[in-house]
Amino acid sequence: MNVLDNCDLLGGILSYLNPFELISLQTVSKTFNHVSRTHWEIEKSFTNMISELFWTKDQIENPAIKIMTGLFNTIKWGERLIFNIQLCKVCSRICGLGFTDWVIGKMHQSTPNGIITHKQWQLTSIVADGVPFILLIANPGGHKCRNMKWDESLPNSTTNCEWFAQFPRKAKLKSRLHPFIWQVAECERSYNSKFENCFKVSSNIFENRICVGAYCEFIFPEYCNLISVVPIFKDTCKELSEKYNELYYFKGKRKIVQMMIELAQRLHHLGVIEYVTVSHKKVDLDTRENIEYFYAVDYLKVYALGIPEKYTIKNYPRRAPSNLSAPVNSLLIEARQLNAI
Amino acid sequence: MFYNFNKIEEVKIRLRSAEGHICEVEESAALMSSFIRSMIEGFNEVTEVSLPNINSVVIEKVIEYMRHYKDKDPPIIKKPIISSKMEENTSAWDAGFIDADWNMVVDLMTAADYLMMIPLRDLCCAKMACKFKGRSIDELRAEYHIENEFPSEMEENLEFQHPWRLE
Repeated sequence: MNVLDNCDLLGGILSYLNPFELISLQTVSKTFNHVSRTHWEIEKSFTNMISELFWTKDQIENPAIKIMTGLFNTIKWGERLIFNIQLCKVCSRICGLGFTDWVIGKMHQSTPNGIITHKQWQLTSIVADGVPFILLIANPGGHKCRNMKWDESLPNSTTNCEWFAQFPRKAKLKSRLHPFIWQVAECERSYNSKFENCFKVSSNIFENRICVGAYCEFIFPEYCNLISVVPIFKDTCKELSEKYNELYYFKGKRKIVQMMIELAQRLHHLGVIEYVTVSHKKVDLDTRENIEYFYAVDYLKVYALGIPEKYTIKNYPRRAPSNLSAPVNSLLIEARQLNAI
Repeated sequence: MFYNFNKIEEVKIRLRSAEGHICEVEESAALMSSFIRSMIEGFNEVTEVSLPNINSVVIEKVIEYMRHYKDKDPPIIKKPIISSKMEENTSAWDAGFIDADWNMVVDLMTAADYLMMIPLRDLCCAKMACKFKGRSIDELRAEYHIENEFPSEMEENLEFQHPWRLE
């Protein structure tokens, strides 16, 4: 008997590998593919790993986590977020997927009519309220500002932190920005020089929500009311790298982006999370027409799933929810004023 | 109920291999196998169990494991494994025990599965996972004589989905 053709035994074997190794092994053979995708042991293994990754005490002590926690403590959950999420057309549950510059750009180019789709997922937007689990997938390396209104004149290679440095009214900006956002900007500045060769992953769990991030990015209020950031520190990456055999220490942006997307999909289908979002969305759509088109397409679906109307795209993105906490609301106003400069 | 406290020798269970050889093991050790346990408990005074799917070399190896762990619990190997070296994943004894060639590990795993010895099966699974860990797709296919069953279209699709997988 060939043990590699025995789904039970192969499942037992593969259960000792981590999910990212499994993804790599899916194309070894059809049996590998089948087992790695469906065997319960694999899912169990995956879940165990995720639990371990996100729930360890040392993660909570991580400085990045503290900043993250501070951010979320400052802004009350459920009132601050307008997420870009997606609907799963397979299971019809609301679920987001971590789109990034690269993915969106790629998919956008690949579709003849300009409709951005990614497999079964489509883009929509709601205010997340009472969401049990949130997986934040930041945008590793996606810190170029070329699509943002604020810095159209800057070269493509300009990063957020460089942009901050060049901003003529930096001091004023700092005084106006939410302190956590500024803190993140400082983080970006610190790590920018090493960024291209070292992508960093961090994780956090607070209350019953999961947050995962690779390098962070602003979401500008023009497009989204959430400024979701996960500042990452080198030690975090190193720690995870050692723990998981350097799987997290990737040299390529695409790799980590794909990894995070897989992570999101798996977690969703395992029922671990309902919502997945990215800390970076907005501007990768080429035109506002496209954005509005997608909102229109998904509006009814969102509504049909019972999302209160006030949270649907009809009110998004130009009007911020009225119940935003004071710091965020203030930030939005300030940002818009700056935007108009 | 009568207990023979004067009994000196423990009851031996005779395991008949695929070749017809008899391998003896103490009953207390043999009970690690749920399969053997069910045979003993299901049929009074059974002292011989036929194992037509397992050769005597493998049975001896299984007995070695049974004897080692008859009075203690085998260590649990953490998932996912942290290293491709077994000694970094489990105890030194387990690592040494399972330090065998591919065919032996496969036979042992199959036997453990048949005998319903979960700890031994897990040990074999972990050992084989070590052999997979860090290996490329091509390496695995070549080493285990796995043909590429995917049509090129599917390969391309997978490559698109996971462009990093070959890196």
